[in-house]
Amino acid sequence: MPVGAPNWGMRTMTDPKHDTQRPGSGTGGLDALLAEARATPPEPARDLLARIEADGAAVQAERRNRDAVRSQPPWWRGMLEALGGAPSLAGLAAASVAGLWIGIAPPEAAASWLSGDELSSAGLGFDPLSGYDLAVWE
Amino acid sequence: MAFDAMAQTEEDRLIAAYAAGDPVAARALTARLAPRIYAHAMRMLGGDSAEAEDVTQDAMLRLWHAAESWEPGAAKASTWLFRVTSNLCIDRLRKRRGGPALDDVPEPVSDAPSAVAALQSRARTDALQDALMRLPDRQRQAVILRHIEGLSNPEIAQIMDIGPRAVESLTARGKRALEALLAGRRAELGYEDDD
Repeated sequence: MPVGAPNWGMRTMTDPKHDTQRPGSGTGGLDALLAEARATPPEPARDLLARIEADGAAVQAERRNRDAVRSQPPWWRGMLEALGGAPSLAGLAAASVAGLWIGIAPPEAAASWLSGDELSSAGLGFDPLSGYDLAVWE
Repeated sequence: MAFDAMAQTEEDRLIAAYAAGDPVAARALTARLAPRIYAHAMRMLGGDSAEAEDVTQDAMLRLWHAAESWEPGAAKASTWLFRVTSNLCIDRLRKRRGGPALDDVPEPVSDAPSAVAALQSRARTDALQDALMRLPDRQRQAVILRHIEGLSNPEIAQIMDIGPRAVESLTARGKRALEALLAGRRAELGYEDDD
């Protein structure tokens, strides 16, 4: 507003009696005080920031370790590898099926052999009740 | 894109990078969020730096743990952290009613000529802090978040778990109480000399 111009009795921002931006003078004073506080925030110590970063790194490391444990193969996979892997499993399965089949429906040659005709001590080539064995039992 | 949305996108990106194991993201998130959280804790706890440090570290640790299941776009990390920090501060304030008064904190003394102005500024800051500490916890929290941290009412409503109207009411009552508390301290704080 130009100097000397009438203001019709209205309050102006520069009127010292109504200067609401002065600290402590009404709402404007409080606003100035709050603005001053906003402009000068308490600064954290570098040591605190370093500790927070270290916590962050520790949580990341913890997570990496957990993920590594999760991605480890199960115990049975190690055993399978020791046996020769999946192909050996196929061989083992075939042998098991063959054994089961022989047990349920033995072929003729095997049946006569298993019936005892061929299963004599002479056939086996040893005497299970030899003197030596009896001596050991006593 | 609005500034708030940009800030949220950046925070989400950093949290995702942190969760993926990026060590730089941890540093960036610390530099971006920890100072604001620390300042808020200091103001909520009446200038007790040791407690404010504990609260800040605890709040950030919760962020590190939450990062893995963080949902992008769901909440702003800073809003989430303000909420965690405010709750931690209020818990501590409830536990330590009757702790050391602000007046008991020793003032730094200096012979430098500019020290007078610095002391007056410090005195004003302390007077405000002292007045803030005389407010009920929720009023103080609302006034700090609105008028010192500069957050919006909807953000404060999220942090305080109340409606925006309740935020307006709390901040208005808080400001009125602050005005009343500071009314008699103008001369003491050198307001006349500063103008």
